Amino acid sequence: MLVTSSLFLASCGTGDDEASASPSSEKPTRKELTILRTNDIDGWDPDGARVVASWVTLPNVLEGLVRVAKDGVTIEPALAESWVFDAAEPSYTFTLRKDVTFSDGTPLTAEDVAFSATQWVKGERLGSMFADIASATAVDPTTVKLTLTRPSTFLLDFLASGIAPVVPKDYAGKSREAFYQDPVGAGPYVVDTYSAGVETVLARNDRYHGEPAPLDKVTYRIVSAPSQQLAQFESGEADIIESLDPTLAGQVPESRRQTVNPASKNLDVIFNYASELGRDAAFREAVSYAINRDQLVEIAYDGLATPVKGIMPPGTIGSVGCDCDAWRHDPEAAKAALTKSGYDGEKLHLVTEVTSGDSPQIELIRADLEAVGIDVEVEELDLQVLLERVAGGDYDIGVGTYSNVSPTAGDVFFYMYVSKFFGSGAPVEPLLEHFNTFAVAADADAKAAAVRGLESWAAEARPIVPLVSTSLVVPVSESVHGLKVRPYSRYYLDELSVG
Amino acid sequence: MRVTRILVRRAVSAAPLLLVLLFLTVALQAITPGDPARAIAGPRASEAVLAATRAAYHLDDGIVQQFTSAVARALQGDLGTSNRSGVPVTTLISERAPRTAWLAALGLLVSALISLPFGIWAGTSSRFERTVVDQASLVSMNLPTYWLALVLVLVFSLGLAWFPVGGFGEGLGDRLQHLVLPTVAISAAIAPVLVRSLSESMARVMAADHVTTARAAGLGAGTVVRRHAIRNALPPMVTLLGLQAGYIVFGLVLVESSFDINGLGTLLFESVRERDFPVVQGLTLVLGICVVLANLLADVAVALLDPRWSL
Repeated sequence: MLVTSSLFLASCGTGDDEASASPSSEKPTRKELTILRTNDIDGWDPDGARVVASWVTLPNVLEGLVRVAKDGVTIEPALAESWVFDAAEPSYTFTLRKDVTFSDGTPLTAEDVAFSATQWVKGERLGSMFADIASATAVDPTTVKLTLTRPSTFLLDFLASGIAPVVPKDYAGKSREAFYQDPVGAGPYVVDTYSAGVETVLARNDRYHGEPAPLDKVTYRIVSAPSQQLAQFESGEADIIESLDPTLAGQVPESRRQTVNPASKNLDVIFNYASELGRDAAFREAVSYAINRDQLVEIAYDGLATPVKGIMPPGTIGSVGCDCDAWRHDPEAAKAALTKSGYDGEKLHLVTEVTSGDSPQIELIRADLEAVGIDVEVEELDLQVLLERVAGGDYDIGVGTYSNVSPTAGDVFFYMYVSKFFGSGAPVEPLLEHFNTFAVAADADAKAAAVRGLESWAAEARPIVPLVSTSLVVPVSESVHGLKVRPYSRYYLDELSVG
Repeated sequence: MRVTRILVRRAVSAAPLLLVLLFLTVALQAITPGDPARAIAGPRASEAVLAATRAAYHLDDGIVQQFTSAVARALQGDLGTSNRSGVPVTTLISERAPRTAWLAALGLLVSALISLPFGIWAGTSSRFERTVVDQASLVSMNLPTYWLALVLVLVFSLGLAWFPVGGFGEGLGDRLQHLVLPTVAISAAIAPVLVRSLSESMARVMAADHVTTARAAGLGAGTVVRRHAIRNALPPMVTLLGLQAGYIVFGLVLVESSFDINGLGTLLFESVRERDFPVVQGLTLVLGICVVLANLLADVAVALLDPRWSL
């Protein structure tokens, strides 16, 4: 896991909070915006995307074939104006918009898309997400066919995730590394300046195929200290803080923040499957029943969270939750399960990431566990140390947060699979079976059915114990219009305007 | 000639020091908890990707091999590439260095400007006045920097709106305005140390025989201080100023973070947190050289002030 909140910046908005002015109805000139974020992007190569900042930023410069609509689940055209899915062949055939150029004026053709698709698959880190692509062929200058290894519908959702950009064929004669040092894309913005770890300035791409972006310039500034972020926002030096810890939300008036509750972000407990206790189903059941999720929501998150409905984060394509009561708070059932388990009263090591402020949720969890007879010692660790301790099996219980970073529940499906439930070593075979069903599900109902199958298994086996789905809090100044952050932190800059 | 000798001796002694420093940072990579491969590849990486990452970044190489590679690269001016961003370390450092240089220069300058009059005044005043200055200095130097930074922002940025909350600014005027509060925060920690040092040495010099003789010869108090006391009292403070450069370089993390300066201190902190060892190694080397140079400058200044002084 423990993919924590500091690693995956969170940001979101609700439909109610969305400002009324739309980019198309308001086109101010010389408008600029400053956005604060904790972590910088991982460079411009999409295969290097680790933090959510990368997934959010890249598509504004390096646009892909499709993107996500404001409802967060509909896939809408980007560089492709339409597409046809042929489950029998299987393949996707995309028809590109006409007269599209890259930001340097070079025409964008199907050859570029075909080349780009091969690069997505080749990615060392994220290429496996595109493993369903068998080949990519330019049928004519505006038509490209992706032939698949199976009738994957998951692929389209993932093409909208922000890490499948269309780039010039052969990287315009450069090496991949050299190209991404100074990237050329077909998105609504171009890179004006990029100073790693300091700030990224994007300028409007005047050659963009769609409506010109309302903003002339957008500056992402890296500010790690929450107090400094809040001070800059308060003084008007910044317009948006991409993500604010929910525990600090009270410092920003409700009228100046967007909140998504719940967002695609879960706080979970994991167990060390390398140990006998971690593999003890009765012990995991006891832990699950012991923790009072409602109390966590009210006290630790001040209402900015929701008790979980399943192990998959909500708010994405296919996420439906579990129609069960496996994740309830029941101290008596916890004590009964503990009696049946192999737990002998020893002090257990509970590891979690150290935070800059108080972490009341950990204290509440510790108190709940002790109330049913589970003695734990909390160790708050630096993230990299935490990841190593979990990978090395040097812990008993772990608590951390993970987020969806793309519009599909299949994203976390896959993540849980490759990381063996966030490094815990929990068995993933049943999960893979459901993921494969999900990947080729013909429609939303079929995808939901696959997720429901996974949730039913998880409620029975409890490979991990989900606790609460936390909110995303995005302070935003009143002068900013059009911001609509999806539950998995996505928003597009060409939706924003100021005035 | 004496200055040249100092420069040569310092340069000769600095080379092994910097090599040891570099070796320690390479060794740190091996003993620091946290898997650099996972830090590079991210928490979503599979074991296969982690193995490939270790191979690609030579993370499984021995310490000696990594050290010799680092030295060979450094001699060619190549400090490697950031694992995190893929940007050359020299680029990262050259982008951030001006921020830290501005902050350090202003911090030292203002500290010196504060400490000279206060130190001289206290050193030539009565015991009671010296005690007052000592106690005030003690309070100032023990103020937590992050707390002081927060108070400065609350009062002068958010309250009175006289200065920006954070950032480095663009253009000379804007930049100076951005750096006022960070400079105050740094000076509040450094100036008191210098004041105490100067007042003590001034008091000592003022009690020396040659000063008594000058007074007996009928020279005015101001003339005695200017011509016979200051020059003799300054060397300890100048030496201390050189030593404070070390504090400034490595202590800037808090000030940079509190005021969003994003200089070398912040880069070092972030790189350690991310286990971005090429950046940590490059920065350690560059900052080590800066500290050595600062001390060298202090030595030269002391040698010029006091002809009796030698290494």
